Amino acid sequence: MIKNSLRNLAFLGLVALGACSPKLQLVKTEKKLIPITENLPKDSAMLAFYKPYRIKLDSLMNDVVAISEMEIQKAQPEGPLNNFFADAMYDSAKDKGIAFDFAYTNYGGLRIPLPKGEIYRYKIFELMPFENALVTVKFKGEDIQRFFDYIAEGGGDPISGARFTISNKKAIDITINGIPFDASKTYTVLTSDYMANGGDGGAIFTRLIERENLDFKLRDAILQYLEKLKKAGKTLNPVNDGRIKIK
Amino acid sequence: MEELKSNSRRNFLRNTLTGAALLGLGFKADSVFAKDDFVNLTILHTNDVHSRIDPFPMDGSRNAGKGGIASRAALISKIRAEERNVLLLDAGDIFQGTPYFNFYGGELEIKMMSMMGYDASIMGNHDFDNGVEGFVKQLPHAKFPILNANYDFTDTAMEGKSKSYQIFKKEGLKIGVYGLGIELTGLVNPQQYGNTKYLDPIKKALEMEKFLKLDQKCDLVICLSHLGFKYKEDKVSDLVLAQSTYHTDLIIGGHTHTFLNSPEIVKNKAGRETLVNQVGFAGLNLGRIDFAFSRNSSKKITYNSSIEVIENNFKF
Repeated sequence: MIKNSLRNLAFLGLVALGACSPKLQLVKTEKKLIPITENLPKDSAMLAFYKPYRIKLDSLMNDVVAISEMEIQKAQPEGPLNNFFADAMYDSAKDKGIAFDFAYTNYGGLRIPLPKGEIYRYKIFELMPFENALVTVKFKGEDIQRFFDYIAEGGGDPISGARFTISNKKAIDITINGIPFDASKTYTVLTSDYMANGGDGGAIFTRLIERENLDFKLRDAILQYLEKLKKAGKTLNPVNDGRIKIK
Repeated sequence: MEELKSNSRRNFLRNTLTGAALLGLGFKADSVFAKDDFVNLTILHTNDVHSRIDPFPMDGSRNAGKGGIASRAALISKIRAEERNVLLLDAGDIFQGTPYFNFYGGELEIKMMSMMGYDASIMGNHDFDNGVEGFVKQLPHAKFPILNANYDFTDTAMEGKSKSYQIFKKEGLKIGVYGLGIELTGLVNPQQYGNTKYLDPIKKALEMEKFLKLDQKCDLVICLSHLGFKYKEDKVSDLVLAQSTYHTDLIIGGHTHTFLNSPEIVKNKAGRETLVNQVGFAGLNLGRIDFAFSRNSSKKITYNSSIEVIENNFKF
């Protein structure tokens, strides 16, 4: 069966040219994808080779760190995964006594959705595989407006502690911890060192006026938040709460 | 019945070579061409595998049960048993994405790529995640070259440890492969790429393809690229590269995790067609493109492309 399905793998494209002519001529392109649904055979030497590595990881990574009510997906302008991630950053940093106004990270940094039901520790490593640490960065009020405009232009990133509306790719109606944004004040943002270094197109961070590097990894902040939920007997059920709207 | 079909197809193809109209029909290259007339070359490729060693777990999510290095290895072995001339290539971002990388630093990924007989790979942006030094640390495990024509590694730990290109010889065919990496500024922490200098990929591509095709007389020129398939904004990508080059026959891309069912066909600067392919991420698919060359003229006659979906239901 497997052999047959491999043999019958789709023919997808055909280019023909005269034997002496260098000119490629497209005659027909047929697009078709046939998934191999049977179990593919496995290379036993490979399995044996990495088994010891896997056993060690299993012993460290297979504990249940949370129970989720649903599959948690990312979305723009906001999504349950975005909100969970940013809220976890916010909550865990506050619990550590770190001072800041709101939390921000990049949408592209959310690497996988979380499944419904038991969430194993390795899933959090896959969600946040990077060894990025938290930092706080201070901006002038006018640059905070630019900061939210930058988020608006990208279609929406994970934030916590702030709300705003995207209107023509600009940010309006910004509130920070429930208070309308005041351009005459300075604000402190909790984010990752990756973003503060200008990662993922974060050129806005060149405008920061103060920066403090924290010895606290993003992944550990997420795990700390989940541990707190678990101890309180709570399941994970993040929702969209309209923190970023589109006008 | 099978024999008949195969014969008629062979004749059919021969007719097309004498100028008859070619109708589209599905076939595998090895069932079509007589071995004495043609040389077949099978290109197998992956990109953005991101430390995905195990298949995705059976947790109800979209990719549950798919991927997995042991299945990929078995599939590659099967194809190698069927085809005489196989090149196995990777377009970067070998590292980062599962705890295997966090705990073992990429050792397993590189060792297992060597076991599978990869012929070449390139550095993607995430291959810098443990710094240039972190990548170099795993290089002793690599039995294949790292190709990067547009990173200047002078004054980094990678200095002298990568090559711009590699020429492979298969049954009289010469295949030139060069590598291109993405701009690191704004994508990778400066501490991680250190003194690595990014050079204009188009300029380097033009140099490389000219050297490989015109000076070295390669029959096929392949670019392994981590530039990304395409962008909305004005930014160099595989599609831009294909349009800007003259002699690159195939671009195997990565970075954007683009799932293409078949290669994109782009008209290049010489008016010829360049194939651009990319097969998603996480080792979910193995890309396969079969080229047939006339033995007499070493000219590319036809190609055939398929995606081998790596799927299984085995739970670890």
